[in-house]
Amino acid sequence: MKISLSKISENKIYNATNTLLFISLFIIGTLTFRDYGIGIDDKFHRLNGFYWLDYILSFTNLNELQSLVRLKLLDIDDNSFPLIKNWIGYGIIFDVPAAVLELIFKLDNPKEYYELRHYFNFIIFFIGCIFFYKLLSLRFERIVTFFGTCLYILSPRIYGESFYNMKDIVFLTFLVISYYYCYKCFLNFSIKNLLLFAFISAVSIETRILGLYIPISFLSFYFLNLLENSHEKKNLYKIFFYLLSTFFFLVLIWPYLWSAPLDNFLAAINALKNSIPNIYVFFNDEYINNNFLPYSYIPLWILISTPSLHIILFFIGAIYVLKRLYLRLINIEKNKFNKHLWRGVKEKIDFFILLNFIILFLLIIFLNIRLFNAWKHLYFANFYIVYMAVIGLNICYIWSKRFKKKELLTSFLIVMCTLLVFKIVKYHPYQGLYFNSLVSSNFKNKFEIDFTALSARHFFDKIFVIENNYDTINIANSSWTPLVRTLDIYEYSKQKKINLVGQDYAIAKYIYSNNISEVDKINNKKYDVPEDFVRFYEYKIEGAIIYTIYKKNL
Amino acid sequence: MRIFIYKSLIAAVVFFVIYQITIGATVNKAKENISYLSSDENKNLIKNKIRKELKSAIKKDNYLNTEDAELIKKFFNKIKIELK
Repeated sequence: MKISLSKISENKIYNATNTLLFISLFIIGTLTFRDYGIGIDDKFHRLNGFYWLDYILSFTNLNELQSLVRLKLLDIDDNSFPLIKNWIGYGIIFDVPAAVLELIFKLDNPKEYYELRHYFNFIIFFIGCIFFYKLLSLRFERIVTFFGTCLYILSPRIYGESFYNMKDIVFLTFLVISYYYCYKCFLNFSIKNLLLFAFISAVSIETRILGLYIPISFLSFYFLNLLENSHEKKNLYKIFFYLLSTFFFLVLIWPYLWSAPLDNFLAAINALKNSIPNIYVFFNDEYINNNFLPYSYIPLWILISTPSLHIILFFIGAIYVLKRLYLRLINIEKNKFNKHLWRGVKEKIDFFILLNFIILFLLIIFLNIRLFNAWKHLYFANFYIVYMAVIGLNICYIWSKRFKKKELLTSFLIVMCTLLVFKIVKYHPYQGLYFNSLVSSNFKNKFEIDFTALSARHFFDKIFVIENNYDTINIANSSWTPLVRTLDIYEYSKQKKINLVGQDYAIAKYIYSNNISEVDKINNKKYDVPEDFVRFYEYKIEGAIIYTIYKKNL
Repeated sequence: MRIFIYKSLIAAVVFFVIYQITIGATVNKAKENISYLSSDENKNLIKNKIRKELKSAIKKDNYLNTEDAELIKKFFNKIKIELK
């Protein structure tokens, strides 16, 4: 009786802790989403949303609504954008609902409609956190699930980007949900689970065409599964059902495919290789053409911008799974079907996730995929990193139980998570620019820092404080950052005060500068600050220079 | 059969990685150099260097030494005669 009572109270404490974690996250997100600046992609997502909403409405009789959408479309003019028709691979799963929300709430103020998108972005991330928790709770013990969810939430770059990265964080979320349903399918290969998995796979593909590897890896893994268990043959028709359903849902939710599903789908895949522009990126103190990034690009970025706790646990987890796999492999003997690559569904999902991570990682590193803005395009890899870290955490938990040091491990994790919370608070609202504590200030400045131009808002606020008269201020830009997109959120009188003159330094009073450049700054002098300007202000976070203001020396 | 497939898959991955680290890396380096040489930035760099050289040549009193001047003069004269 005593045991069952303590079990009940333990359950209650556990449930209360989890509820508290999610409620805290929700409240913090709700209170802080307005603090984030406007990213360079916000305007493009708005344009994309209204463009496809207009297309969808052309199939309906909602003419008045369509005229309203077209008015909004005309309003979004920016010559720094590529033609939307050429960006066929761009998904709409976030952008169209965001455009609909903007219409529902009748938002006309740029600050308001961008903030609405940021909040919507955060809500999607929040849903992803819940599914990550659900996935872990299927696989691990409660305490590991709780701290594992904390690790996922307390990844500073991902947390920060969850407020304005409408592509990569949304994709990360759908990837998490995909793996949750994939695990459900491993547990129970039912039509219902497959249908849900197919739907979420389609959503992932629609968000980023790279999501195609979800059905591909699932299919490949099924064939690997056949080697382990020939009884799986009876599920072959279910696999076909899954693939067909995925394609059906994909066509249903992707308006671009409506006119010619197969042709347009292939065109979207072909467009993938040109979806990232060919520019120079600042990496390890060098401007490098992103067609020829060194193999160290992704590993180094992940190592310096992921908390050390995550990295250490990741290595423990990955080495453990690889070692277990190796031991299973060498134990397999011919015709002895009791020897398998995995034992039980828990090992199976660990193996599946690690395999996906290794293959993707190798392909992205070695196939010279164009990248820029740190590892933004690979933020979905954070799922694999944290999942492997949770396996590492699970190993530590098993050891701590064996040596009766459970409380010590729990205290250590509480301290580490608290330190991460402090870091997140310290970086606020620039968590997306986080570097871990092992990186020196000097080393941080050898990498591109604020590609998303979040600090542009801070810069303009600073300028408005310094120049509080009514004169127009000419501001030149010694970087590739499109300052004009951030200016949109200010009231008209303030916008009028600012005259952005590009690289026409001769007429500028101030120059905005950072280390973002599409050209090699060593050979191309277009972003060189003239000698008659002096360093006026430098905005730093933990030694990393976010931007510098130069002022004309009169 | 099962072991054969596993070993083949592992061998394929190992081969891919070794190929990329050795031959792939060399090919990429060569491609990078070719791309750099034919880039607009490099062309502008060379043009600017030539301009700089010409400017410094103009500033000098005697750009060529007497021996070279004599040699070039003779060479031009020869060409001139041959072109007639």
